Amino acid sequence: MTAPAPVIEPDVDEATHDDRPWQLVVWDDPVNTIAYVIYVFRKLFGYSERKATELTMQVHNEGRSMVSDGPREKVEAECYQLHAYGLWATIEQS
Amino acid sequence: MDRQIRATEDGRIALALHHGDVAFLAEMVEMLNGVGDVEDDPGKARLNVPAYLGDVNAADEFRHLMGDEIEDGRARDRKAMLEVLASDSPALVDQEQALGILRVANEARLVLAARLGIEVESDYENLDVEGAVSLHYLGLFVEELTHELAGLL
Repeated sequence: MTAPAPVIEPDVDEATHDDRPWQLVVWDDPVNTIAYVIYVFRKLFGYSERKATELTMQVHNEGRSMVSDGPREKVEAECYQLHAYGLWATIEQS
Repeated sequence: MDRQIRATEDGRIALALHHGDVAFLAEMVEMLNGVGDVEDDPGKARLNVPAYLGDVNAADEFRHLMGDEIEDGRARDRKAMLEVLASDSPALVDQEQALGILRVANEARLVLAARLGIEVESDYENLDVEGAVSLHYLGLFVEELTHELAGLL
């Protein structure tokens, strides 16, 4: 007779771990100029002028744009940089 | 007529500022140094937007971890800007110094606009002359400096 197999308790941290990516969102505001926002996106993220312009116009026309995503730590660091440049940026999970 | 702000061939930025420009920009730095001295200052709120919407705890934690660093960076930018304003014109600054000046000028626009109650584009139509002129001047300064810095990317 074999011994009963040990009951494996689920790892609570693992069970509750939410690995959906985090997103960095920039919101429209009536003060930051379009040229300034385009420049900040190019400078901080290394985006091409075209991509930076597309994202900026999305912010301007639709009110918000998801400009970056990834692990929470990365997105928080980017959010910090955008705040330092005066952009209205928030973090959310997809 | 020479431009007030221009990139140089060696990748720096030349700022040719007249006495009136220097006085106004120094006044703006002083205004920024006073942000937070007034209770319920909309300018302070605009500079400290929450990083998380709908999650007060996460927003507070972010502010706790990053807030001092952001404030220290702003204070360094302002101090460096005052040093540039105190130097002979035209002042030659490297790109990092120019970025600091850009952040300060834009920060001044944000604070002024918040204090003047600008929340949507149409609010600009209701500004008094002094507020409109100040925002317009800072807007031109930011645009000109942004244009020169973008040319160096």
